[in-house]
Amino acid sequence: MKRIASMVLAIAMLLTIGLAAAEAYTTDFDVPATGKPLVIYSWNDEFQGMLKNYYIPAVGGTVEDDGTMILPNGDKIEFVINPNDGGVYQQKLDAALSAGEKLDMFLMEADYALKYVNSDYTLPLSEIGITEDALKDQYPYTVDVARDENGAIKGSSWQAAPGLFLYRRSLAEKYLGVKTPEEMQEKVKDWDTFLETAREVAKASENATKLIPSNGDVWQVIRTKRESPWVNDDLELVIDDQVKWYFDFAKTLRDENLTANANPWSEAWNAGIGNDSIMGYFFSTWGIQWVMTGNCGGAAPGEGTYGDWAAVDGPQPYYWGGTWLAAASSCENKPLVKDIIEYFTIEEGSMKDYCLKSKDYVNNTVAIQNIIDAGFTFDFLGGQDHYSLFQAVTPLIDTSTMSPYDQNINMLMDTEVNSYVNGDKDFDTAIADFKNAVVDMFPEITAE
Amino acid sequence: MKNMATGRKNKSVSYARYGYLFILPFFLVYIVFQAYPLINTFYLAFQKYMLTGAGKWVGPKFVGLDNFKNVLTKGYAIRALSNTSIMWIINFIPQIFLALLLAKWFTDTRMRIRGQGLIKVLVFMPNIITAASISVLFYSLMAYPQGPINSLLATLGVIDANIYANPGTAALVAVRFLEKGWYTRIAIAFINFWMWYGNTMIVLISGILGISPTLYEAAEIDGATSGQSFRKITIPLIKPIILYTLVTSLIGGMQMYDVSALMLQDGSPAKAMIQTNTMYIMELVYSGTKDYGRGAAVSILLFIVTAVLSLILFFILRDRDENMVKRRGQK
Repeated sequence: MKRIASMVLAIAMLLTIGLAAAEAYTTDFDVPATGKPLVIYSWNDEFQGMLKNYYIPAVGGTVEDDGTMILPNGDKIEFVINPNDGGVYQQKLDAALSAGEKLDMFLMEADYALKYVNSDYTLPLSEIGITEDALKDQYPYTVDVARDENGAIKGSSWQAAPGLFLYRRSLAEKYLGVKTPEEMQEKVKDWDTFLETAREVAKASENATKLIPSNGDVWQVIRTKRESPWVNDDLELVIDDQVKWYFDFAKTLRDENLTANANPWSEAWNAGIGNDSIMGYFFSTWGIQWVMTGNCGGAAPGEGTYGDWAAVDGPQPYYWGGTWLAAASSCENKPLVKDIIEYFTIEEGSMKDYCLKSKDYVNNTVAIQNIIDAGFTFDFLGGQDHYSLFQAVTPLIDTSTMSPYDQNINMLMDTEVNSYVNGDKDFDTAIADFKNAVVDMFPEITAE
Repeated sequence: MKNMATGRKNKSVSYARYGYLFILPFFLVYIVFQAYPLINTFYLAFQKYMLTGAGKWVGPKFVGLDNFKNVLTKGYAIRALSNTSIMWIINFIPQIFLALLLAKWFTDTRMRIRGQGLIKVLVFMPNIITAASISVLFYSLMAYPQGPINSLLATLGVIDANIYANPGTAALVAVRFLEKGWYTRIAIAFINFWMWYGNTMIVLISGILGISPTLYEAAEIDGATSGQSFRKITIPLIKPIILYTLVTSLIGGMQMYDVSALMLQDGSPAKAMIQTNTMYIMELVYSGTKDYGRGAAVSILLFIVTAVLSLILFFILRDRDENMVKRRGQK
C-alpha cells in the first residue's frame, strides 16, 4: 500500500516537473567564459530577481542557495545594490564610475538616465554589437530617451512605463456608488473632477479612506504635463505654470485633509495598498507588478486586496519611471551584456515569456500585441485587460520634459512644497528659496 | 668563531632602525589617509573642479579665492555653521552641568552614594549604542501621523484622538515633528546630550579624583560646606579637564553629521534648520553637481572656525597662576 502511494506521488511529482519544464522558456547560450564575474549596479533587487528567475534558468545556469548566479560557462553575476532614496544610488554609482571600479553594466532610471546617456560612462549599444535596427519593436520613446547628443543609443529598456490610475473596486462602490471602471473614469476624468471626488471620498468615509496617498503622487503625474524640462538648453531653470498649479493643488489637498499623508515610498504608502486607508494610486506598469502585488496582502483573488483593484486612464496620460540597461564604459564582458540586453529588451520570445509571468509591461510592441490578441486578463485587477489601456497611453508619452537633473530638483522642490503647504512660507518665498537651492546644488544652472 | 665575533660586535649596534620599522605602518597609513587628503583639500579649495549634473567634468582650473568668496556670500555654509553651533550649544550647556553635578555626587566622600558602579554604567550606556540606532529610534518616535509621541499626545487628550481629523475641526491634530525645525533641532541636541553626558562625567570624575584629598579634609576642618569646597577647590583644580572636554566636544560638535543626517526626512522643510556643515559638504560633493572646489572650501572654513574657537577657549581658560609664576621667574 505504502509503495503504491509513494509511486503515485513520485509519478505525480515527475509529471509536474515535466509540465513545468515544458512551460519554461529556454534559449541558447554561447557566451565565452572570462573567468571574471559580471558586476551590475542597481538600486533594488528587481533586476536581480529577473536574472535569477528568468535569464539564468533560460540559459541553463544555476542559482546557488546563497543566491549566487552562475552561468553555464562558469562565470558569475554579481550585484551592487544601493537605494535610490536621497540620491544614494547616483552617489555610489558616480564614485564607482569615476574611480574606475570594476563595473560592467548598470541600471538607469528615467529621473537621471539622460545624465549617464550623455556621459562617457556608457557605451553606445553599437559597440557591444546591438544595432539600432534591432530595437525596431521597442516603443520609440524608450529608444529616444537613450539617444545621446550625437545620436548614439546608450541604453535599452525592458519596459515601457505608461501610467494609469488604480483604484479599489469595493471602496469605490461603498463611498462613490461606482460599479464599473467606466463610471470611475468619469469621476477622475480631469483634475477638477478628481478633486471633487477626493472630497466626496473623504466625506463619505468620515476621513477613514482617502482617494490618494499624498500630494507627491500627484506630482508624478502632473510633471509630465510641463512644457519645458526643469533646465533648458541654455542651462536656465524653468519654472513652468504646472509648478504653480501643483503648489496650489497640494495646498488644497492639505488644507482640506484630502490625502492619507503617506508620502511616496513611505511605509504607510506601501501599507495603504493592503488596507482601506487609501482608495487609489497612480502607478505605471512596473508599479502594478512590482509594488502593488507585493503589498496587497495576498497572492490570489480574495486574499488581501488582490483582485479588488481596477485600472482607469485617470485625469491625464503620463509616464512614471522606466529602467534602462546600460553597458558601462569599463565593461569587460560585452558579449554577456549583449546577451542579457537582448534577452530582456529585444527578443520577442523571451520578452513575451517574462511579460506573461511577471505582468510587467514589456518594451516590445509585437509581443504586447500578441498577448492582447490572445485575450489577456489579469486577476489582480479583477480580470481586467489593463495592457490594452497601457497600449493606448504609450503613444501619448512625451518625454521632452525629462532632464538629467530631475531626481535632485524634484527633491528640492518637495522641500519647498512642504514648507508651502505647512503654511511656513508663501508661494513667492518658496519659489525664491527653491531657485537658490537649485543654483546651489547645480552651480552651472542659472535662475532668473 | 667568526660568527661569535660579529655577534659580539652587534651588541653595540643601535636598534633604532627596528624602531623606525615598527612605526612605519603608522606613517604609511597617516600619509595615505590623513596627510594626502588634507593637502589635497587645500589644493581643491583653490580650483574650479566639478562633475556637472549633466555628467560633464569641469576643470580643474585655478580660480584663486573664488570658492571661498562663493561659499561666504552665497549658498548655505553660514546657515549650516549657525545650525551646527546652535545645536552644539543646546547640547553642551546642559551636558556639562549635569556631568559636573553627577561627578560631584559620585566623588563626594560625605554622600557615599550606593550602587555607584551600576549607575555609572547606566549613565555611560547611551555612548556605547551607535548614534545611528538612537537617531532612527527618535525618528520613529517622532513620526507622523501615528508615531508613538503623537499617539501618546492623543491618549493624553492633548491632540484629537482621531489622527485623520480635519485640521479645521479639531482643536489640535497630530504634529509633523520631523517637518518642524525646532522640534528636530531639540531632538538632535538631546540625542547628543544624552549620548555624551556619561562620557563627560567619567572624564570629570577622573579629574576630581586626581585632586589630593588632604585639600578637602583641610577645608572640612576649617568649616567649609560641601558646596564651598566644590566651588573653591574642585572647579579651579579641574579647569584643565573642563577645558579638555569643552575643546573635544567643540571639535566633535562642529563635525556633527550622523544624528542630524538621519533625522532629516526626505523633503522636510526642517532641513534649513538642521543641516550641519558636514551635511552641507556631503551635499556639495555628492549630490547634484559634484563640486569639489566649494566642498573643499567649506571644509577649510570649518577647520578655521574650529581652530579659532579652540584657541579662544585656550586663552580664556588657560592657567593664569602658572603664567604669573613663569613671568615672576623671568623677572
